[in-house]
Amino acid sequence: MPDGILLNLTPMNRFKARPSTLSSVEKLVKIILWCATYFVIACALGIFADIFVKGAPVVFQKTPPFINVPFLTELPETLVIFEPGPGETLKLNEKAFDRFRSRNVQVAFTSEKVDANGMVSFTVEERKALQIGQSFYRDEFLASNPGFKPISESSASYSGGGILGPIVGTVLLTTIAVVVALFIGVAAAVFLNEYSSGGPFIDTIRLAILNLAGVPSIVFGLFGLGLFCLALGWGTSMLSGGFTLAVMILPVIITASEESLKAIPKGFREASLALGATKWQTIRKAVLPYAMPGILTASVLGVTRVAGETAPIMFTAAVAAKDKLPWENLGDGGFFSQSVQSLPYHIFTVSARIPQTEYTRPMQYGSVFVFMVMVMCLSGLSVWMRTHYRGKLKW
Amino acid sequence: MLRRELIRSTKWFPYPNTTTIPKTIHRMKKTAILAAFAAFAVAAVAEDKIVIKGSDTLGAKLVPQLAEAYKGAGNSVSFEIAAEGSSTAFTALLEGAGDIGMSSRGIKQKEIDALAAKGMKQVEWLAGFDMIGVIVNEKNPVKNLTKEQIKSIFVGEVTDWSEVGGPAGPISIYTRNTSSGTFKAFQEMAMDEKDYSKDAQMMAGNEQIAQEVGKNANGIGYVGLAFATGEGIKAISVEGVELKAENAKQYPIARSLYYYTVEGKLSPAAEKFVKWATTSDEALAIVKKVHFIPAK
Amino acid sequence: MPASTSEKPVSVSRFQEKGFRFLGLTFQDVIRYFFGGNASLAIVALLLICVFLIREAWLFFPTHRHDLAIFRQTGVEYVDLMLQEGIAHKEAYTLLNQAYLAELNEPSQSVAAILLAHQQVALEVSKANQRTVDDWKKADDAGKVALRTRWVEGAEKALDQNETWNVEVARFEWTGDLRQKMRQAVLEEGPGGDEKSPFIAELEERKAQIFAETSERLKPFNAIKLAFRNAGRPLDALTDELAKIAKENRELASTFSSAPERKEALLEGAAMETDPVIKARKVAEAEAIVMVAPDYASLTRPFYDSVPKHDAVNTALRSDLAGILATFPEPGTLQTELGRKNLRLAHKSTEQLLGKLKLAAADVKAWRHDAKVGFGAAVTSFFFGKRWITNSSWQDFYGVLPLFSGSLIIALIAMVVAVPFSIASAIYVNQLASFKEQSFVKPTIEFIGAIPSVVLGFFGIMVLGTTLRDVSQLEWLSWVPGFPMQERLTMLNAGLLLAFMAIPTIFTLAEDAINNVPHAFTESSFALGATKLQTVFRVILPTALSGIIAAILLGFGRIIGETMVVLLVAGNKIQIPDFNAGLGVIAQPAHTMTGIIAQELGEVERGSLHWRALFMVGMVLFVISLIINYIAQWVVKRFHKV
Repeated sequence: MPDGILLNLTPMNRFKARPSTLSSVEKLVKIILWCATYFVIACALGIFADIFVKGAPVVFQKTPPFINVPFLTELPETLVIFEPGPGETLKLNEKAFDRFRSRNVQVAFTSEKVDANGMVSFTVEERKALQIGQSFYRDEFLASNPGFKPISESSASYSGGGILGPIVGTVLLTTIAVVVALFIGVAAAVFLNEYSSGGPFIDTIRLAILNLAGVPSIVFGLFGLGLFCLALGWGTSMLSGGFTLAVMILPVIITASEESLKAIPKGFREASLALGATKWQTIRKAVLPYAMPGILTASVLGVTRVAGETAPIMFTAAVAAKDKLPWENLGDGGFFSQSVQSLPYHIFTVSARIPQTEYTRPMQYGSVFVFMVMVMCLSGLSVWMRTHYRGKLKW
Repeated sequence: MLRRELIRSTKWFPYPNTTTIPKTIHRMKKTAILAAFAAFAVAAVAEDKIVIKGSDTLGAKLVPQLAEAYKGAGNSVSFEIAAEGSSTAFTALLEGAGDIGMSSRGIKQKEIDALAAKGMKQVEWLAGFDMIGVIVNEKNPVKNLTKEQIKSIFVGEVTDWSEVGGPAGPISIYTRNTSSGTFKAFQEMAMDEKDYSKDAQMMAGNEQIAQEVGKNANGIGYVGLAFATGEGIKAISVEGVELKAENAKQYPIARSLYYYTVEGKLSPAAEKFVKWATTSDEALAIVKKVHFIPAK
Repeated sequence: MPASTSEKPVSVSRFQEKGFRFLGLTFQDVIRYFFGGNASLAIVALLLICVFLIREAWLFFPTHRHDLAIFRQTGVEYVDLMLQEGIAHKEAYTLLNQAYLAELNEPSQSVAAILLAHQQVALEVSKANQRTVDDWKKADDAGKVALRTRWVEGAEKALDQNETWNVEVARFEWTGDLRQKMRQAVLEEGPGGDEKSPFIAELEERKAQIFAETSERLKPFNAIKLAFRNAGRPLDALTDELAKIAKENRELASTFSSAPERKEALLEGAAMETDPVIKARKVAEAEAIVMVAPDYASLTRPFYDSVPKHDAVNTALRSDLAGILATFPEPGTLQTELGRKNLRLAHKSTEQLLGKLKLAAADVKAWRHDAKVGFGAAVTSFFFGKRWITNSSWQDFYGVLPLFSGSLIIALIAMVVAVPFSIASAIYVNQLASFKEQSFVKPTIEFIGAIPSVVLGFFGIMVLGTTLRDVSQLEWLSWVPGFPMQERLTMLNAGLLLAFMAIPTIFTLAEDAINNVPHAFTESSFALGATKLQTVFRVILPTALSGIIAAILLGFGRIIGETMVVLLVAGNKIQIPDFNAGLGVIAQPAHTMTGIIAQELGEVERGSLHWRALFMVGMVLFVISLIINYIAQWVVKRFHKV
């Protein structure tokens, strides 16, 4: 390093700075700043790497179809683990067992397969077939195989099956939240940008929006519980959760929409008005369509925010276990008035509330991985939208 | 200006020098919304739904497995299970938010009063018995503690393992959070109702205790029998009685587990389930399997 | 609608559609008011948040006051005064005891370490041969012979693996000889672990011997310690005796206070009942409820009677302790650092204890069961209460201080870590990085902000907690305050994760602020011959300072309101952190305001005092967030003009 500096500072070049403590201090400071920046990035990459390395094997597999379909299409279930032979472990599931048995009519479990120790040995194919699903209706198996003595069996709650329920719940909650928030938010932004022109009332609104943005998410949870669940009597439901989340992202959507309305040149409005359009016609035809990309980007951003929140839905919408998808069993309450599973709450449940074994790990990391991928896709989408629309025509 | 900063902080917002939005997006949006509503409208045949709320001790393992077995036995019902602590069982019953409440302690007078104030009366179903295991890290050589020692550890009088025959090291106490039935039951049975040491850490569930004790060589905690076999932990004998289902009679820290329902408000499906869960052989086998002691 | 209409001349355009009127408003007006209404929803939402927090919380103080009044009337409060004396005494004793134990254990430490290592190795070996061990327990004598061979094979295999020898014992190192001996010992012991190898037996004997010698040497210290403990016994006995009475009193009081409600409910139920038998039963039950207020004066008689006794006990305790304090060994005579430290702390704490006991004696004398409980008492016991104890078998306390201090310290740790990093990266990215670098670094850091908090919390319990603790055990890091850490879930762990959440917020806002510095400033600085960094630190940063401060404040606001990370990772110990540890306080677990709401709200009875207390905590959080927001705006306004 010092060599380089000295070489550059040949007396020939009079405009070059002379070597001084100042310049080396500058170098040092620069290096420190560089380190700080990249340290943060390294930490982020470290976290991603950990999640991806441990989570990806759950979701992807080496054989076609390369994706662990049951994990994404089944509901969480209890996983039963037992050892059919020395040093071998099976993780089985009732549905998978039914599928397997219908294909292999009783072959696998006849008593010839049971050896002197009462252990069953399976062939590779059989084992593979069994492991397609992850849990197994043990009692039925035992009943049809009296000679079979399972060894050190155990079970792990919520660790079998997949995470379809939580995914669906998250999607529904965010959809409600974003639809509601977009509707109110865009209208509010139109008012603030197109109709209002200052004054104490507008100042109060802006102040309120600003303050709303800083309120902790758990306080929104309390608010949602008080207003939607109790006062309005919606109970612990999708609707309560969705509205709570909507209020939470309202400031984001309002301000983002307003920014994109502001970016529309005044000329558009003036031209429209000059042609005799009314104010509303102007807004509808000459302003909103052009602000749409910005507003949509804002809504994607809102989705990213909302999908990741746990605290506001803990008391308003989420439930730990539910063995039906929302539309499968409507009951008397109606679609929106049922509680749902949600991915962040599911992660909370499997990481802190249930017995942990090594068999719970795949469920934990798998859920986190899927969740991260969802969030990353949304973030990526909003980046793409930003650059895409920004790159297009300028006025 | 601050407002703008705030919003920028929310990131990736395009300050669009943007062009027109294609009409198709509008149309697509509309269709999407319509499709969504159409999907919502498709109501499947409604099965009976049973909502079960309450104790984490029961809800983390036993009840989900009972539910699965119950459905496996050909009953077409669906379940919703939330396990946040025994106190939630009674709030749920009170508000009609649940059909069945799971509790790892008997109902309190206060809760009976609250139910009575709404004109309701509880029905108690004995779900089984549970032993509360005192667990330590598997690396801890301590194998047995007396009740007196356990009490002095949890109230904070004994703070070092060497005082109870272990290697030198400060004791880390892990307890449940205050609404838990286990928290209360342990206090009554093992600590003469004394308050917990203020150094005790409150964990959200049995499992978190097991997890922390499994990773802290100086940890001690208590969990339901079903949780006492986790990674890195071992249950110690209390007064020389080993933590085993066979020893339920002699083991000093054992308690009953209950389901609670409201008289006259129980749906037939839920009643059938709770009867099945408390009396059928199949259910009792599952109770045994998850390391509780069946009521019969 | 006070909004001005100055921009409105257009609306009188001739081309406007006419005739449509709705409630006297034109179509345009309707649209306008519709939009205006939506915008005011922001205010409405904020107001609703206030309203609903207040709605659930406002009865907290009256109810709490009523509760406190019951505690006073029934004498629970009186007993609590004594209980606190006992607790203070026990705390001092614990320190003394720890000093003693440190001394006692030190000499046998090296032998104990080997024994502990042996135990861990044996554990690994038997884990690797779990099946054999299980079979062994069931096997008969003949079977055991066969199993023995199988076990030796398995054990040798396990012992050949390196992992088996990774033991976590402080001050322990394998030497070749030791390893060989250990191997032999483990093999000799067999699967059941019931035969003792001579090597281990010898070690145990040696340990016992050293232990006996040390105990002999420390006998005087032990005597002091025991005397200290025993001095408190009379007080404990008195407290226990009175506590029983107080508990009974409280039972009576709570039965009485819920009696009208129960009666009413039963009568209502009876009215609805159609079955005459049940109806009669319910009415009879209702009639049976006693509605006479307990006579607190006679109930609390035993307490007043006990005052002289307490006085005697208290005086005796004080003089005993003062005497014992004088006989404390000199800290210098102790051999261990830990012992010396604890002895000094014990000394200090005993001195404080003497003062406390004196005050307590006066308090006990002054106590009156019928003294009025002021509203202020309810308020101060919430805002300045040092105890948050709920569902207690004794008395519930709702003091927000332990939660607040936890939240605050965690947020401070996060800020100390996050501010330098985020400001440094903001400067680097905005001023020094190439365009290409910028377009990579900026989105990456911003993306960190999109990581859901529950994922970070998950990472904290799964990875960071263990990693941090392992790192803290490293010898060369022992200078770091709080290291080596015993817990995985600590304020440090939570603080680091929250720092990670705060970095993107602060980074983006600060980078913006730096970006907003006019070019003319930079250019004139260069023109004057300043170097790049001089310009950055002397021109750009001071100009952008208001924005940066606002950024830091908003980052702070974000992390103090963060829930999932602290709930999962902070360790949830409801106690004001022990500042005796100095900076090492960061290695302690704590509970937070956000965490307590998330943890307890789902579990408490709706409308109960506890429920209201949680909403009060929510109020506090809400107010804090408003204040932070306000200050941030003020900073920007105040300094931007300059």
